[in-house]
Amino acid sequence: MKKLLSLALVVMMLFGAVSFASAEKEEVTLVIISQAAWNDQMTEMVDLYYQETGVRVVLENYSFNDMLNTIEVKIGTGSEDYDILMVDIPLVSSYARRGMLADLTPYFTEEDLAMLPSAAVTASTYEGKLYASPICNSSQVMYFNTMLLEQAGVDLSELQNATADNRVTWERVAEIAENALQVLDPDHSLGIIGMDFQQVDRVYQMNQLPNSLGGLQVDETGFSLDGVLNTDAWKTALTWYQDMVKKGICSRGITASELPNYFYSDKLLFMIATNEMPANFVKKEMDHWDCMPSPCFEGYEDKVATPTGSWHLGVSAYSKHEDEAAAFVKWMTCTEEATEKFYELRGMLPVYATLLEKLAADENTPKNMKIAISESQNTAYPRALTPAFNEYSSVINAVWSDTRNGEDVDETIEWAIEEFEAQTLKYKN
Amino acid sequence: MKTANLSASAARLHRKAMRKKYLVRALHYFVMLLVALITMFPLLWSFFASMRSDVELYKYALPFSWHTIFPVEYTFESYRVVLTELGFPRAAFNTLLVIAIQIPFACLINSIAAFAFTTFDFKGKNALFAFFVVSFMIPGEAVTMPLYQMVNKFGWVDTRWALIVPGIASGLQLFLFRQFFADVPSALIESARIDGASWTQVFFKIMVPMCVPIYITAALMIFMGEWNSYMWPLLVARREKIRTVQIMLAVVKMEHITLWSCMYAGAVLSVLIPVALFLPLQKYYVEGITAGAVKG
Repeated sequence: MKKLLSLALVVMMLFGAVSFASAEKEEVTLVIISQAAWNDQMTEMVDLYYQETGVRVVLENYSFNDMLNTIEVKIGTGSEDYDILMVDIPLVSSYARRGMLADLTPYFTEEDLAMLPSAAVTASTYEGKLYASPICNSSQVMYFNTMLLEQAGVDLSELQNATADNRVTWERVAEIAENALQVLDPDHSLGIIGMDFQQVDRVYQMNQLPNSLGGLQVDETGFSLDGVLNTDAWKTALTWYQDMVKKGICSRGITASELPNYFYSDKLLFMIATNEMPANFVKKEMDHWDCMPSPCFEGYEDKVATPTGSWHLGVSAYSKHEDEAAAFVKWMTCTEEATEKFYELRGMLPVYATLLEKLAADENTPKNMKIAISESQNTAYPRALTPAFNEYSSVINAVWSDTRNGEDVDETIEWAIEEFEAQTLKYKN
Repeated sequence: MKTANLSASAARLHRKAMRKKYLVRALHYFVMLLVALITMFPLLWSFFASMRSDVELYKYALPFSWHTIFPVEYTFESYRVVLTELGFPRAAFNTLLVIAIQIPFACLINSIAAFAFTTFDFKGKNALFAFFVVSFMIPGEAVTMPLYQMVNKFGWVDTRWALIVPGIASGLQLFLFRQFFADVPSALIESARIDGASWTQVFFKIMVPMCVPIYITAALMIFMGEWNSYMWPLLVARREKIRTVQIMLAVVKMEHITLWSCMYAGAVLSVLIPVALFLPLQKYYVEGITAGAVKG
């Protein structure tokens, strides 16, 4: 009997040891909703993280547009399949308000946050809690086609020597573009565009015009455009842009996904675009370009406002591995090692303070990146902070689109104020 | 002399009539050719655009010239990208697999339901039929969230079940089958029953063989629906291994850049398979769609 009992005890101990060992070996696998275009770089990052921590992170890739829809449906329905989300910065408050993101405040110390741009931290904060952390930032640079401008007899030194303290004005850029078009394409038969915005008729880039005249994005409540759009800054900006379209300097009818192709194909003289654009120039074998800081309006040299904000990482409120997911987010966004590696791989404007300082001081940092770093530290103007950002962007996008198509500016503004009011009623009740 | 004049005049009239006939026919062909060209233009444009670089595509957009449509340098690079880097063959296989499983089940279930609605009388029949008919008038997007929750609870997300099962029951197909079955003379069914055929035999040995066009129509409709389906596969097919054609194609549209020639190459490839299937079966499709349109 004793032998039997001892044997049973040994067997039980063995089982215990085995189950303990297997519990020890249990691996955490995190799933991240990510952009398909980032697959190669993100794969390297998650591999590096696995080597360091033993935590596996699996990428679930979607195209840019699909990713936002997927997050809406999957996290909106409380799916527990995901741990980390790639969050477009203006949507943080919307997600946070709907309980889709976990509170990251306990995971980030004051010292951690001090390493990130305050604008990005503010945009990631909703009702005093941090819901996301920036993986990268963005800024805007004015690119110009040196070959076409030289053919038109433009002296490039004025453009090439422009600095953040000595910017070329919008009015001057328009004048140069108009004169160059007179030489290159006087009857518009070649379809050359004088100047344009990469993300034409989208909030992100277009709002820099009124913002650079002192205009706001949205009112303090985040739910009204009254007192914002019906101001001189917005009216002047919209009217100026409409005039540019009417004169044939800016384009009409070309979408944001098409516009950069006109630059690569020598059909566009000046293009305001993201600092990442040179990577595409290389892919398209476009080598005759240069860049300068975003222009300013005459008399508003001290009010320059440049678009900013990019992708953040947040943790799904329904994740079963919140601690591990938050640890990955912190490693990816708030450590020197990971931010440097990600910059090396993808070349996007970084957010980590020490890396920014290093790049700013480095002589080999490309001109477009130096401009972007300077703008992100001095003129960056965040997008509207409102939980109704989806409604906001659809209304303001329509304002830019209608203005471009020749609608009366005052009527468009009036419509937009009423429309946004109507669309945000659900948030007020 | 008079007879000769008359025959000459008749010959002249005949020649004139013939000339008019040829002219009308030529005009007829010209108009048809013009309509065909207008219809084919977007397809031709896509075809040629898929064989040129993005830069060339925009470089020759204006002024309108031969090279606005036809490439200066033909390249198959975009096809290489779509077929190898983006994984079109796997996506096409996934889509075809879903369709191949869905078609027999959908045809069987929807036609049996339609047969019941056509043949039997039961309480609440009309209300139930109206309920099914209304179901296909509700946009798919409106039921996406609850359907996703349901499929998620079943544990089907990221499996082929989620792609196949929700598409089987279809109000539209049930409606089509019912309309077609209603035209089958009831005397046929009654005489089969008198001869001792069971309901199963009536369905499989009389209705199904008589209604081949509507089955082909239903199958083609399922094919087209699933081949072009986007939102639902996007949500439920998480792994790239089971993703379908349209989801694969969407990857070419990125945040700051769109790979236009790859998009055109993908569009051309994704058109080829449905067209290859549709052309030989189109007469059945038309027959099936128009069935029940005229009651005689």
